[in-house]
Parts: sequence; structure tokens; C-alpha cells
Amino acid sequence: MPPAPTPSPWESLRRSRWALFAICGLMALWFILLAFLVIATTSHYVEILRGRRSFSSLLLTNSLLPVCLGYGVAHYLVGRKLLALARQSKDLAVGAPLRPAGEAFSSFWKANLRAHLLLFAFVVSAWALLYFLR
Amino acid sequence: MNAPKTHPESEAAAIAYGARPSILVMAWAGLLGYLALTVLFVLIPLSVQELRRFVLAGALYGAYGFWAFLKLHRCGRKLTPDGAQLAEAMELHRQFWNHAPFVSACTIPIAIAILWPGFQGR
Repeated sequence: MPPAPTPSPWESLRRSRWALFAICGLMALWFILLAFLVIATTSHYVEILRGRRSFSSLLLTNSLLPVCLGYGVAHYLVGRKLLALARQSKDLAVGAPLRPAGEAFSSFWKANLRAHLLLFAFVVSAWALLYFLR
Repeated sequence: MNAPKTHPESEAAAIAYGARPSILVMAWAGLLGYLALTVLFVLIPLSVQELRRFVLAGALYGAYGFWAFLKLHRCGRKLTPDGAQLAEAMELHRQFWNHAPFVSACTIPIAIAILWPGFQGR
């Protein structure tokens, strides 16, 4: 059987809309799980050291906090672009203007790289700061 | 004098080409990251007796993530200014995103399995 012809680029982008929406939801779920982990680990120490240090001061020394904050900010920035790409993909129909979809595609990938570099730099510097202030 | 009119499809392809460096950097980061994760997800269960049964799951997960990022890398390489291979690039992009939610979701049980002994103080 001959291989199926490759669909047009914009049809492929239109077909990927559900996966793009799904990854937006997963990013939010990951952030909630990470925030829960930060609160759970801090509460654990609060229980051990009850009466000696406050929750907020322990939270500031929790090394998972920078990861959680960095993840939240970076994925908020990139999530907006991903949502815009998913919406553009959903609206792609025969005869629809292609320029906005091309722009959303390019803009998402540029923001994705910037957000990951920002997250990496933030987490490394925050961990270094926590290490030297210990 | 009027500027020459460009075809909307080739104009959109030229805009999409702007994503090529970012896609390639992210793809390389993903490939190297999943290579490192595969090594970790195999070595950690091998060194902890109770986690031995997760060795295969860890190896398969790492290989699955690596394979998904390989698609993204091929997508980036097919993006050209003239958009000659844009159809293949977008199809690979679609395939990458079809697998990305599963790669991301699989991290949860694997991470819990590895972190669980740590939570229990072992």
C-alpha cells in the first residue's frame, strides 16, 4: 500500500490542537503538585520544630521553593503562548489567514526557550544563594 | 512602487522558520536530558533492592522521551526559509505534541516510585 500523503502544514497544526490543550492542563497540574510538595515538606519540618521557628522562615529555607516559584513564573509565561498557539490551531480552517498561526508557532517556541533559560538561571542562582546563606 | 506580493503560505512559512533555532536548542536539551534521565532511572532502581522491578519501566520511559524529542529535532531540521519541507516539519511537530502529554504524565508514577523510599526515610 502506498504511504499516505503528508497533510498540509496547517492541517497538521490544526490536528495537534488537543495535544496542545492537554499539555497546558498538565503544566498547571505539575505546578499544583510542586506547590503541594513545597507546603508538605515545610509542614513536616514545622511539626518537628514546633514552637521554635515559624512556617514562613522555614518556607524561605526550603530548597524546593525556588524550583516551585521558577516553574510557576516560567510556565505562566510560556503557557500563555502555548494557549495562544492552541487557539490559533483550533481556528485554522480552509481559507483562514495563515500568518497568525505562523506567528503563534514562532512566538511560542521563542518564549519556550527563553522561559526554560530563565528557569534554569533562577533555580541555579537561588540554590547557590541558599547554599552560601546556610 | 508597490512591494512584490508574497504568497500567504510562504509568508507564514518564513515566519515559522524563525522558530528553528529555539526548536533545535530545546530538542537538544530534551535529548541530552532524557539520556541523563534514562541513566538515572536505571541506576537508581538498580542500586535500591526494593526498586529493582522498576528498572525496565525507567529504561522504557527514558527511551520514549528520547524518541519523542528525536521527532522535535527532525522537525527543527526540516524548517527552512522557503518552507519546502514545512509539511513534514509540521507533521513531526504534531507527532511530538501527541506524545509529549504522555511523556510528561509518565513522569509522575516514575518519580513517585523513586522518591517513595526517600519519603519513608529509607
